Amino acid sequence: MRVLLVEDYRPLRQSLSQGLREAGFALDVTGDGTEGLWYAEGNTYDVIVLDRMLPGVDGLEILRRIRGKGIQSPVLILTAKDTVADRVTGLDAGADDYLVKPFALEELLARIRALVRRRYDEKRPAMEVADLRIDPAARRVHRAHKEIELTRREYALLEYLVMRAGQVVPREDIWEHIYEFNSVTTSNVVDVYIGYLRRKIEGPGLTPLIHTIRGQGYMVGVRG
Amino acid sequence: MTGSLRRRMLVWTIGAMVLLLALFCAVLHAAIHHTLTRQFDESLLATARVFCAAVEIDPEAGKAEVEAGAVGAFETPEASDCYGLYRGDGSVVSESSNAAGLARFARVVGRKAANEGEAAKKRAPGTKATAGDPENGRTETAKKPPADGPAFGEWTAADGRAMRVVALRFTARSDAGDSRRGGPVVTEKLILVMARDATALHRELGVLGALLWGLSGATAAVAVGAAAVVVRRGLSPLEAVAGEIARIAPDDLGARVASARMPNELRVVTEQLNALLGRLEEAFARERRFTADAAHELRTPLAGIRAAIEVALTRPRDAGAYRAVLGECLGILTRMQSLVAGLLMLARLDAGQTGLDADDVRPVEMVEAWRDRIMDRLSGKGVVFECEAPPQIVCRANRQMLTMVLGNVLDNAAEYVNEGGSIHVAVRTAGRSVEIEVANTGSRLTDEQVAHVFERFWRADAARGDGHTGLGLSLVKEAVEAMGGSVSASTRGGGVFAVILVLPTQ
Repeated sequence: MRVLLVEDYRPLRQSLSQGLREAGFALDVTGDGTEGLWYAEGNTYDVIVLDRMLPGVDGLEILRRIRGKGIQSPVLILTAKDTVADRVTGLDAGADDYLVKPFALEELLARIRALVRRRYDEKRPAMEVADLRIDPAARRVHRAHKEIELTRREYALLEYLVMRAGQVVPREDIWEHIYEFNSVTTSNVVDVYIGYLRRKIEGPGLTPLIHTIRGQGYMVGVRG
Repeated sequence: MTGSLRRRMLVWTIGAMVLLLALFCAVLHAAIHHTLTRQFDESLLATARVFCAAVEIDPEAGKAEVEAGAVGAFETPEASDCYGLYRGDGSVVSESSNAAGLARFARVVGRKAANEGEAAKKRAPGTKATAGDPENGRTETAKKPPADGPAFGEWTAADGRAMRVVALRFTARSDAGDSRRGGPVVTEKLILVMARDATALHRELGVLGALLWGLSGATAAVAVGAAAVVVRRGLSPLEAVAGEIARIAPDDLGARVASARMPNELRVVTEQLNALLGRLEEAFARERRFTADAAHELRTPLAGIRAAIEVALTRPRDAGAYRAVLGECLGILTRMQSLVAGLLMLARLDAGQTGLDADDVRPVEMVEAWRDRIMDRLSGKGVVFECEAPPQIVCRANRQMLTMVLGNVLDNAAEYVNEGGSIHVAVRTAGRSVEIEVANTGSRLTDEQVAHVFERFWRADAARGDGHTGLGLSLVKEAVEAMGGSVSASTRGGGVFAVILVLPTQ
């Protein structure tokens, strides 16, 4: 899942980016409002975490502008302002969630996961495709009641595909949602990781779950 | 002034009214009483004088006698008057049948005459005597020996009737005709006491008095009611205002008391009250904003510390990583500490708690002391630091506080100066004060923004940089004002922003 973090207070920005990356998110980070707006307009994010007071363009202003452009990414606002009026203004400007500083990292992560679920119309905290089970909160994967160890990137790839289970997902989409802006990779790296994943979650006696749709992309699911 | 205004007004109004009415009534009553009694007395006296004229001395007998006609009038059944005629020694010459007891008036008058006579003999001859009886102030009585003047009194007759009495001393003579016949004129001092039934007079006086006092009482009662109504009516706007004020909730300082339809006296009060409410509202709003801002400023670094520690704890890390987190947290804490110190200082300055002892201070020394720290911070940015301060200039200030003030102003200049720019400090005397100007290049503030630089937590771009609290210049302003000085800020061409501190020299 790809997240944009816009926070101007350096210590908080650094800790959060470390925390979010370690939690498996592909993360773009900036401390400046103008830059934040540029990121949000140019990329597709699963969640945008936005500080309310920013140099350059104010957080609420960024929110209004990206909503004005029809960008649907869920937005979570971080703020030190905790009055009801402040929350209402934030939510009415198009925010999906609101978190008052100081907050617990766990809560931020849980809220981001919830926003991701909502984005993919997924209500279940843990997702299942046939006998494959993914628990995003614990970042654990089981196949036929057996736990499977995945690397960070493999997990991110599988989570994204399962989130969109039953759909044909283009390579570019996958690439966009699991790689950060600065990554020096090409989209054929996706094919490589699909290979790794197949080796780990598929095997003799198990139904194939990851399907290649020629010329379009990949799909996770049981083919009928 | 305590107690109820209404009660006070009522008591005074009613008290004054009742007192005046009573006084008026008493005077009127006395005047009527006096006039009626005097009329009665004069008529009685006239009758008495006529009677006197009817008394003559029989020269042969040498005895006084009363003409039968005069006496007859007293003996008719319907006669209400009675009389007694007495000699100086009190013996009876003639008395009407119902005159028992009248003699004592004669004795009183006789004794008085005797005393007066002796007193007159002792006095130097020719001295004019004064009338003994105030009832008897007329001129003709004054010419006579005072003892001869009529004396009036009250008497209850044997049959219980209230009588008005006059006692009169006069000289009876033998008939003029007798003297013409050659006999000597015989005279004798006699006392006539005449009484007349005064029941009617007393009844009239009683009725009049009752009428007068009754009317006054009724008037007073009505006046009390009227006063109560008038006072209540007069004070009703006050109660209306009190009600309006009472309805103002503690969290509704935006409310105002409507003063448009008030009487002038009250309008002054309500306008002052509204002005007070306005000032309170402003102060509360300022306070609320300040608290909210302060909370905001403290929450952000707290969030930084919490996130740093939580991220560090999510998995085992090496010692270097923990050390980095601890260093980061310490840095945040240090800035929080200076923010809290600044807030505390502001709170104390607000409360006027800082007892400031002033010294003669050389600003140039302080600027020099800060120069190295500022230049350390700006190393590598190619910033020029110029100081144009004659060392002999001395101002009157609290050393510690002025150090803090200059530190904050220079810090601010260092924060915003551009790479390759300059910070320029100038100290100069201006009349009885010293001006310290700190200017830096690289400012992007507009004139409108400059107006806000001394506000707490104000920043040009509404977001915190890295560690600057936004409290610095507001602290500078309050501290300088606490030392009796003033501050101002301005921008000049070329991106120059200048803060000017004015401090007293004595």
